[in-house]
Amino acid sequence: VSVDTQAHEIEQLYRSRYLAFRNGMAALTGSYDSARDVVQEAFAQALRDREQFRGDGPLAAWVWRIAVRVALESRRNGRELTLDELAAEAPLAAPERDPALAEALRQLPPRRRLIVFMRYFADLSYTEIAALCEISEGTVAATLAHAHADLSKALQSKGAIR
Amino acid sequence: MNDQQLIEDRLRGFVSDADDSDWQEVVRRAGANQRMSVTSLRPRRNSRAQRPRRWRALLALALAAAVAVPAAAFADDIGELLGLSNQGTPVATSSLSHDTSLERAMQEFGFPSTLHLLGMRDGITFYAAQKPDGTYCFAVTEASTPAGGQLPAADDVGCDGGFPSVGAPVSVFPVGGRFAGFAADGVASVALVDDSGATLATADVKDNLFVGGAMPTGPIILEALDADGHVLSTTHTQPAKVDQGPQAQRVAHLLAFAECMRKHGVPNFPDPNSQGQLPRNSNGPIAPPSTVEAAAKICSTIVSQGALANPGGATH
Repeated sequence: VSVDTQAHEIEQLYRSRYLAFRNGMAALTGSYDSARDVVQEAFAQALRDREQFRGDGPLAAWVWRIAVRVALESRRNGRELTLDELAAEAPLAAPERDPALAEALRQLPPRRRLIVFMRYFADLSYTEIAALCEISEGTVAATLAHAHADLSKALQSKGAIR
Repeated sequence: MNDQQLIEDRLRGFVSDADDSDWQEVVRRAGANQRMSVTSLRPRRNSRAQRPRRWRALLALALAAAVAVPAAAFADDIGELLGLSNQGTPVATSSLSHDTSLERAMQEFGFPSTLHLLGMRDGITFYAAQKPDGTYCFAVTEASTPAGGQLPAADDVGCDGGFPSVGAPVSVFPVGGRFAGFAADGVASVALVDDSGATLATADVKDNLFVGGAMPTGPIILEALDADGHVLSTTHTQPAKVDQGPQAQRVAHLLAFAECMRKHGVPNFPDPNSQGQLPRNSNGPIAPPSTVEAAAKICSTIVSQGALANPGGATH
């Protein structure tokens, strides 16, 4: 794949999935503004470093990984956080839209919460999530099933769903 | 509705539909951290049927150009290179084309519904428009069609995702075999030179437009110059119709460029790979930025090429 083709593909990815990236990042950064900044910077880095993309997985997962790294750097705490640690601290933008669910999400184990964010906020496919987390698609599906059960239980205990 | 669907719906309630995307900003950010380099001339003459495919390649070239920035010695000029002050006269895009294949091509490019007639020079009429994301689209015609006229079949349309930027202050649209196109504010003239430095064609820029003499064939270098005659950017290219293995050409030029850089104080400057890409240096700068810039300034006049990925090593 030539550099020029990759630049085009990165632009296509941006144009077709900007909102998903921004929403997914908002879950990790806690605000839509900072999420936008992370996504802009991540795509700029992807454009610059596009020759490093080996094509061994989905482009979206590669850019997402860059975005996560940018989000981590923006914390400036000098410590390398893992993806799971980031998710463990994820503040979730706009929790006021559904406080009960936001609280239930907070109580999920970090890995489950992260995969929920990736699936429902960032709209990543099972394949993309699997590539990103370096797990199998079956594990993605199982993790989401567990997360649903956890969320359902938490909401029921609060009477938030019947 | 079962629990799972309910929860999925509620989860999606956290997402926002407010679209604040801006691809041009991404391109600018990508360029802002680059150290230097060169642009691509974008010849656009092509058969109608091939235009959409051609356009994708052009856009990619423009992007590659946009991530490359001339030597920082010209940093003072950057602010002047990012706009077109000629706003022109609005013209409905639909009024320009009664040719369905051209119309289709323009639709595919996502041409805005209003073009701006920027002017007529030496028998060539120039139109430009900006998409909502800031991307410029152009139409040029050899016939001096006034507003409301019709673009003849032979004319050219295209969008340039990287123009105008520091790395791509000029967008060339050869019309009728002539050297013509658009230039950003701050570009006073443009010149085409050959590998030996001999000038093949020049054109003064007025109101962001230029028309020169015959478009030369063979490998050429495009220079954008400011009012004092300083070279703002250098572009190595060859006309689209001359197919001499662009990849091999590109690699050859990058090899020569790398050799030149090594001779001028950057001994660790890497050779390109077979794809014409320079490896990114992950271990920090390969030489002090001032040294890299000085060498690049010398070498870019000898050898220059679009899409130098990160020649000076990371500086951020």
